Amino acid sequence: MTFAIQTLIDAISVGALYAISALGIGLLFGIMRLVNFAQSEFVTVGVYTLMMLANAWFPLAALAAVVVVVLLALTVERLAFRPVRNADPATLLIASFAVSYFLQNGLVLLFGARPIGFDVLPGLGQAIQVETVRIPLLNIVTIAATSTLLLGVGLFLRLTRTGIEMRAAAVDFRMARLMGVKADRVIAVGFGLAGIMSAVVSILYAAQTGTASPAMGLQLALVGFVATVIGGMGNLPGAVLGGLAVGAISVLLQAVLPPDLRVFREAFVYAAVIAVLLLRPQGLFRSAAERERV
Amino acid sequence: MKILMLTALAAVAVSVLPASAQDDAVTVGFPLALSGFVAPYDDGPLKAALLAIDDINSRGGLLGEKIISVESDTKSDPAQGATAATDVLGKAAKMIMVTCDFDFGAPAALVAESQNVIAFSSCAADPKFGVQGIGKNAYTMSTASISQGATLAEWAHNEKGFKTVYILKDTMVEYTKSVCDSFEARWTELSSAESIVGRDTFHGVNDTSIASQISRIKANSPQPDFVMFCGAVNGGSAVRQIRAAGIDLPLLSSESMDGAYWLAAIPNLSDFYVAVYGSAFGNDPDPKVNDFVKSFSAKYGVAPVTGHALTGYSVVEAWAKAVERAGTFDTDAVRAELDKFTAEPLMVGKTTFTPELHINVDRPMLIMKIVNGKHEPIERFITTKLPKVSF
Amino acid sequence: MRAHWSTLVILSLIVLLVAAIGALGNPVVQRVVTDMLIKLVVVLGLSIFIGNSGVLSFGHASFAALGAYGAAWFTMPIVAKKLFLPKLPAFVLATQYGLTAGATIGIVFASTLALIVGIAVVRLSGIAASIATLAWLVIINTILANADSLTKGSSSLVGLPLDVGAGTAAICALIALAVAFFFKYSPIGLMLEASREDEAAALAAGIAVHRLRLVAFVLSGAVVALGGVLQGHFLGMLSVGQFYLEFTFLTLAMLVIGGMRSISGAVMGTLLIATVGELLRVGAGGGTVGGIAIPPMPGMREIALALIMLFVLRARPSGLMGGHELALPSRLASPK
Repeated sequence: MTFAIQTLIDAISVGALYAISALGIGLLFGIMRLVNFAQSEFVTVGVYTLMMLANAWFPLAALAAVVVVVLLALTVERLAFRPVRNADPATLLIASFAVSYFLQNGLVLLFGARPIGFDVLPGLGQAIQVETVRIPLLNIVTIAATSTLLLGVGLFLRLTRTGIEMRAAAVDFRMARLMGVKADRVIAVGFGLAGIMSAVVSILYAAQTGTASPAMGLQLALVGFVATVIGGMGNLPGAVLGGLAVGAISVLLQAVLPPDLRVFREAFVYAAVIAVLLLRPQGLFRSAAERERV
Repeated sequence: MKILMLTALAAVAVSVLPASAQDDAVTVGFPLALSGFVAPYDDGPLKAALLAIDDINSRGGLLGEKIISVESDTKSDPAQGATAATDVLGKAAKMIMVTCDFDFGAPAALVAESQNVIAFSSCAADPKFGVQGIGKNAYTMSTASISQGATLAEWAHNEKGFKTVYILKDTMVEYTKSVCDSFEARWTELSSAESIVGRDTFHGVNDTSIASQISRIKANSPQPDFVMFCGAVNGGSAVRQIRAAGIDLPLLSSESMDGAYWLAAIPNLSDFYVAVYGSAFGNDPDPKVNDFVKSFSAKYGVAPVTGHALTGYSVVEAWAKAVERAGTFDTDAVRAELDKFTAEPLMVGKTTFTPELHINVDRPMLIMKIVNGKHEPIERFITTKLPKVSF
Repeated sequence: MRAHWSTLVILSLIVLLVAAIGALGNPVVQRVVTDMLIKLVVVLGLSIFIGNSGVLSFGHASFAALGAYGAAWFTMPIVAKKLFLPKLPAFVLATQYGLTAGATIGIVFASTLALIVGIAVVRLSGIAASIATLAWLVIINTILANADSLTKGSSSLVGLPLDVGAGTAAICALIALAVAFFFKYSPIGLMLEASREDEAAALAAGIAVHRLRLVAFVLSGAVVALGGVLQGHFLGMLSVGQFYLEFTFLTLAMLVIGGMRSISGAVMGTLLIATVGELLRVGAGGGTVGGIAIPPMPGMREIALALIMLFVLRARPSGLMGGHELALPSRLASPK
């Protein structure tokens, strides 16, 4: 029983990290149909920033991570994506691969490929003991961060002018532009938000792993990408739930599969992804804007 | 179109530049990962091998000839590894040292085999790296992964007196799987299957969290005496998560966890045991190893990151010894001498090769204990019952 | 239709020219050229599905892996198989075929699995189809990496005969080129192209888009599988990791940078990226060019390659060829 409850807690906490990742990817996908693989490196660069400032006062290091990642996201948008914005999704995708490849190899060049250990937020390793169940503080913080970000982004999209413009752009970019929405601004704000989310992921991930390595963001981006699609493209709560679901299924399978099958866990997870796509091609939580008009 | 052809022609022109071979020098080739994800594992062994070449040259060279080195970058890509080997062999390399890993080193070694040149891997720990998997000219200076696992099992059982164990295995690479499997086999012989209270797997890169694995360890009552931890690339992250969850059990691991680069993730880590080739921290029980660390630091400004560097030094050392005994650089004669090595005292330890087995299975490993984030040597140890070598 | 034939002739001549450079060059150039031609087979294979249907696939590396292992099970010497893969089925252990027969088996094996997953993939459209192929790649990678008795799992499989050189690779590249060409201008290919431009209209016109896509998917899987077989028998070893994300990204980049809507784009993209990559590799290794010493700069190649990719995409968002085919000036309007 304890193991079952503990597993549920593990499932939610692993899923929550994927959920933030999916939120960032889903946002950009919604606005400009960009599958941004470079989000992987946004997270990694955040982690390296924290690593370099591991001995500094933590709030300062965290702020630096947010600033660095947001600036990186804006620079990447300006230099790499803006020139190809109107190209087809394949070109955008390859551009994001190229950015990802560039940043990853840049990190290898600067820091080497060997993982680097460091220690931030050691306090989050502590756990609250409820009866026999342990709830690590890090899990609570991760879940709180996910909820806050989702709520914050939701309010931003509904209450601010830029947010409303972003939603309009997500429905029909060309029409929105005709109505006076400034594409450059909307997209830049989208990248800025994705940068903030990546920075939050990097802080949580750094606290959990205490390790900086050049390819560490890949799995998070990959799951974020999958989660966005199964959650319902362009539907942010759907992306978050998609991320939670993928993380939770991974943990649950790890817990219940017999040892011989545990190594095949990823195959089961991704078979479930294909099944969801076949049963609900528009995603679990289909957004109204996504329906194709014929 | 024209640009494409010109670049293609330029590629030909650049790569057919004449090799700078000297008459009174012999060339050793290093088709290694100078960049990319495998580069950290080749860095130490390469630097150590160059140090060994310096040492030999300062003593007058080999058979009166100066040793010169040529390097070619494999880019951490198996296919490029074969190209890099072709490159250095085209520059008349008489021996090549390849990447410290079977997957990345084998393509280069296969090229050397096809040209009948000796190829040494610094530390590929898979017994396939030899006659059976590549060919008669392929050797590895490592201690086989199967010996490492068995050694840790026997040491934990006999020297530490541990009774029960939990096995946590990274399934991303063959090496850690092999260490844990041979550990389990030897442990079961020494103790019993029941004394293994649990086992679990994780994936070093794909698992962003090992929360589930940790809950499974904690669910054991009573807790095991220790955890056999077969981790590699992101092992530091896993250890941090294990310790953060309040699991203070002794952790045992093999040379893939050598080095202090990951320790900052777990300040004041204690009760962590690791079997390594030799101490990279200047406190090896064998003074020869400490001298090596000193001259390495003097030449490169920093100490080797891990004890793997010793394997690189010994590659050159072993080949040079065999060349001297053979009195020629001829591959067949040198190979015949290498195959006669029996407990040959090299920097990395006593080394034995036979015509059938080109990897070491009975070379003692140095067991080190991490106390408050510092490595302390305990003893050199080797399993008394050698595991059955399978390919 | 003469314009199309001139395209096939021009592209074939380019392949032959590349092969000739390989044949005349030193062993390093030979290896580089062989590697390039193998990549070309894979990229042409990708273009059969992606180019004609407009749906991006991340899953084709799995067919390269399946083809490579499928072939290796039969081409490896019996002694090697008994040593490394003793748990293979007895009839496989007891047989050894040459490269052609082995490749055929590998291709049939991979195509069969392509058919099975293809049925699911073609029912989806756009990004959902792409994600399904990505999921498929992860599934196959996980299975192969842990099916120790069939693949040696995460360990490498060695002992494959080294049967592939520049000549074999060139012949296979020509075959792949011909397959891609004849498919593209076949009735199926033309109807698929129509569906790429407007799926709804194509459906309304009575084109069975799903079935056509399935044909393209399987055929493209088969050609990519051939590429996998070549790679395995070129290196003499296989590891599951060779055919995963990096392979996927690199070959997709070659296709998109060349221009995924034409066969010439696939060819030019592959040759450009592979040539530039190799030049940068040589350059990053340092040396002296024209008396000027260049220090080794390990790692610069990847960075420069990424920048060149971004630069090309920026200058030509639809790829180098922008959907056009190389052809003699008397080019006729392409039939749509």
